[in-house]
Amino acid sequence: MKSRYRLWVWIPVLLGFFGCQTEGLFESGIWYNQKIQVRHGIVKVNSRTHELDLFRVTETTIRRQKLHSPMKGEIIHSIFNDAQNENSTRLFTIGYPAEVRQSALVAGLTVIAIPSGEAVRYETGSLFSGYRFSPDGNRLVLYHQSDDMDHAASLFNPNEIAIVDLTAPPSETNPLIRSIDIQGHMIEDIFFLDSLRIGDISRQLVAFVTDGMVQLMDFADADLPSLTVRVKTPTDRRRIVVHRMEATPALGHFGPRIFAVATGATEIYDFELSADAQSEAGFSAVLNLLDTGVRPTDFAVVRDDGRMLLVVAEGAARIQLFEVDTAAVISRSTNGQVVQHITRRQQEGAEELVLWGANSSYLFFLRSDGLSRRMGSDMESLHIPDGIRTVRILDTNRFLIHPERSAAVIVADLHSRTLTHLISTGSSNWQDAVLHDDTLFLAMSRRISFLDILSGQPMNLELDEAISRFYVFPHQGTGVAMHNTATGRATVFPLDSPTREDCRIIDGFHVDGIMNRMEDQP
Amino acid sequence: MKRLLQLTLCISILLLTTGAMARLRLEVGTVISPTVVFDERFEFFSSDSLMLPGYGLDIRVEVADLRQTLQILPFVAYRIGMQDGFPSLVDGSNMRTNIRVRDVSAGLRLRGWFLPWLGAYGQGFAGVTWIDMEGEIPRGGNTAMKHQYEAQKTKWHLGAGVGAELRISPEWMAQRGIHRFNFGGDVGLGFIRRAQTHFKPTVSGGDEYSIDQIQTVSFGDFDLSGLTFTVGLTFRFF
Repeated sequence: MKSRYRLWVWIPVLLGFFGCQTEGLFESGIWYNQKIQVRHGIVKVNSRTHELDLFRVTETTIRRQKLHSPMKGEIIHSIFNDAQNENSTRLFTIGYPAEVRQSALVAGLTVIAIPSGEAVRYETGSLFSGYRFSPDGNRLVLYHQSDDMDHAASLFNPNEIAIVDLTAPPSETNPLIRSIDIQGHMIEDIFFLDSLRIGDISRQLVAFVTDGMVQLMDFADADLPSLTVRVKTPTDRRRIVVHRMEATPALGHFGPRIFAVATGATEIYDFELSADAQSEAGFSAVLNLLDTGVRPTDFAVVRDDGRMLLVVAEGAARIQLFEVDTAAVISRSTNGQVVQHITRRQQEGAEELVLWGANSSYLFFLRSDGLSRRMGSDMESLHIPDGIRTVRILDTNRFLIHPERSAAVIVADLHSRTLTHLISTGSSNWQDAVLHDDTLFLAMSRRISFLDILSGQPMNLELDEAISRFYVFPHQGTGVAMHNTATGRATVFPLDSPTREDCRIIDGFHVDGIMNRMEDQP
Repeated sequence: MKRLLQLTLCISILLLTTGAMARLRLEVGTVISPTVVFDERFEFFSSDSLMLPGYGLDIRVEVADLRQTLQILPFVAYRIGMQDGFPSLVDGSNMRTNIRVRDVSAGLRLRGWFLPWLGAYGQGFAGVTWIDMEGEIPRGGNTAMKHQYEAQKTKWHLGAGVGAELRISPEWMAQRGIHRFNFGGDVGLGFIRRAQTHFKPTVSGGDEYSIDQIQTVSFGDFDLSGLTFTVGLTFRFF
């Protein structure tokens, strides 16, 4: 056959062959690598485009809405919401340039309003993966964690922090970039302390904690140098990291001070603060050590009748009461019950401490008023028959207890000192339960179990498919059980009527328009 | 429609006045007719390929033979194409999909034999396309869940093509006393334009106790237009 005829034979064959070649448009689909609940629904990050999709939940629908697209060439490192969690209307992303040659783009924090998607970007210069919100939610402190070094192009300062004023627009001084003096250690924790008046100045102290060191910075004037307090000597080989701090204002002849306990230490640290014009920070701290002899796990400062006391839990079958002024110590036996944790609550208008520990069988109650006179002699207790494995604080009046020796779930009413004891037939962990009003919801396998705490009545809601995640949207009054279905499927139900009759299946919210969306994939 | 009737009438008058009206000859063709779909979203129904395999049947009638050179053959054709896929949707979970496309067309073929056994043709056609789309989620033995996604669409299509036809030489057949039958084949290449399709299925499955569904998925749009290849056998009668 002549070559030109051969060509005519091959043209349709080649056309057919190459015409059928594909790039695998649906080979890997859409991947969401980070998911977070907000007030209006669930926000997910598309791992390839780094776009944020809001799956907006109503009583009858779940609709995908494109919430935010990062800047060109920006990779979303992490997303988080503020302390509001499921009621949050702000979302925060930490982003960094995909390519180091993108000199016009630097790492930054983006604050996204939900559901409008309106975004404000604060340039931080380097990637910070650690963060802490101030208690009022108006400031955000970003700090480095060890993995951040992988994203640094050359020099990396582990002590660099960025203080973002979320109430102000981005500017040259917002965020405020500072380097704190913790000698190259990584910041391990940050504590926002209650406002303290030191001398004539009211200070909002923030403590940056690392091994053997606490750096105090006054956020009322973040331009001032910070103050370093060493909690161990340079030759001390112990790893001492403060894990709990409490500030208390001046009382009588006591100056304002901060108490702290640290993992690995047997002391309680007492930072006595005073105005000091000679100090660059404008104040100084004298460190006193209160030796407990054991390792304190938790403490509470009690101010009663002009005296200052520390109630200390130490993981032993006793509590210790320190009188700070005299350093006198009184131990109160807890009858063989280990006490590790302390929390505060109000009981009939007065402050009360609640103490407990894992592997023990009692909750203990200690009134704060009159403590300096009675020194714990009036301690009350509530017996937990099957022991305590874990405690979850549901609200100021209720603990959810996972017992040590049974597959039960116990709701302890701290106000009435009564227990609701329920036998759990499933192997689920009630610590994952979600509380809405007086109903506790727990998803397991294909079932949602819920418990009316007031009546103690347990009920079940059996669904058609296995549950992968369960969410409660109090604002919408809707519960959503997500299923691992290719299209994105959920069963929704009204929280005030969680019955099968009122359940509805919403399908396809993940893939709505997917055939058109795949064209947009990079 | 009015214009189509006018055109048909004009062609008939032309044929009658030129004396080209031939004795009617019936042709039945069976074809294998795959389509290479242009729209890559078709991959939703076709793993790693844009090929829609198909086959079908043509019925053609030779109504005119202009100057013993150009034959006119109105025809009706039926094609069916089927394909299945396994697209990955979200977070690595897949769906099993399949699509069935049925075309019924009417058209006109113009053909000339430039050798006793070899000819060439060009044709145009239009018709109706029925599309059945399905998707199925693996149930893993769970009979309570709804798992079947189904949608049917009716669309129009237009097309054109060219090709070569083969036959046994009529003289050779006549020498053997066979005048009213011939046998051959054809190879062709064409284009078919189908209207855009939207895949918004209804969901079924589960049992009488399953929970009602209140929101259905809309997967999106795609276009089944493409390049068609034809290889067939043709039987000629009368």
